[in-house]
Amino acid sequence: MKFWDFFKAWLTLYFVIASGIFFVRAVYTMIFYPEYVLTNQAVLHTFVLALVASLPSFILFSNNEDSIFNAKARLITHFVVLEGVMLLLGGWLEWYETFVQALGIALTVLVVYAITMGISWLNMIKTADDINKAIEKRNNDADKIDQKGNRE
Amino acid sequence: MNIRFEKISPQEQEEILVRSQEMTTEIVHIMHLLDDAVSVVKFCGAGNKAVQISAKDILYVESVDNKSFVYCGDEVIEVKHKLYEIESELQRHGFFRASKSLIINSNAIKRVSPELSGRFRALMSNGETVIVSRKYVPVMKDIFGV
Repeated sequence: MKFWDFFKAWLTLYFVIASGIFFVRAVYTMIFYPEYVLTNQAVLHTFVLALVASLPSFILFSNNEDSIFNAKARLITHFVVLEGVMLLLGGWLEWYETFVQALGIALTVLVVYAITMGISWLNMIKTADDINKAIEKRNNDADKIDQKGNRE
Repeated sequence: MNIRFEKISPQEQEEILVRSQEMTTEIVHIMHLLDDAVSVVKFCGAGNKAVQISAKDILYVESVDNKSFVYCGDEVIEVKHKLYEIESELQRHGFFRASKSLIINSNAIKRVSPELSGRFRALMSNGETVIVSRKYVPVMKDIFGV
C-alpha cells in the first residue's frame, strides 16, 4: 500500500474515532450528568485522544507486502503500543488513580481491540463466502452450458 | 456447411455464431476448437522461442527476480515479458493482479479464505494456494461481482 493511501485511511480512522468518542461522551453525559456543558477543553481532549488512539496504526503501514509472521508481529506491536499510549494518556487525563483502575482501562482497550478485530474478521469471512458462492454459481453455470453444448 | 465472414464496424463486438438446425457432436467439436483457438496467448519464451498457451490452462503468472514465470499445473514456463505486459494481455481472459508479483486466473480459483492483515488465500484448481494482497482484494471482489 502506498503511503498516501495509508494516510487517507488513517485520516478516516482518526475522524471515526473522534466521532465515536463524541457520541459516547454525549450518551454518557446525557444519562449520568444531564447538567454537563461541553467545554473547549473537553473538545480538545477528544481530538487529542482520537489522535493518540489512531497514531499507532502507522505501525501497520508497510510499503512491501509483509509475510504472515511480519503481519502478526506488526499487529501485536500495534496492540502493545496502543495499550501503552492509552495508559499514559489516561494517567495524564487522570482517568485512573489506582492499579486496579489502570487494569480496568487496559482491559477496556483489549476488549475494544478484540471487538474491532472481530468485526473486521467477520467482514472478511462474509466477503470470502460471497466470493465462494460466486465461484460455485459460475461453475454450475459452466456445467449447464457444457451439457447443452454451448460455450461462451 | 457454409463458412462466411462478415465485416463489422469497430464499435461492434466481434462474435462467432454457429447456426444449425440442431446441436450435433460435430458442431460441439467445432465450437470447442474455436473456443480453444480464441483463448490462445502467445508468449516469447526462453531463447526467444514463441510459446503458445491456452489462457484456460494458466493458473497464475509470477514474477521472481525480474523474471516472469507462467504456471500451468505442473508445468512452469519462463517468458520474456514484464508482468504488467502479461497482465494487460490476460485481463480479457479473467486474470487479475493479486499482488505486486502475481497475476491469477480467476477461473482457476476453487475457494478463497480470509488471512491476517486483510489478505485472502486463494485455493487454485491444482491444490496450490496463493495470496491475494489487501490492495488487490477490491479487484478480486469486482471480478466476482461481490
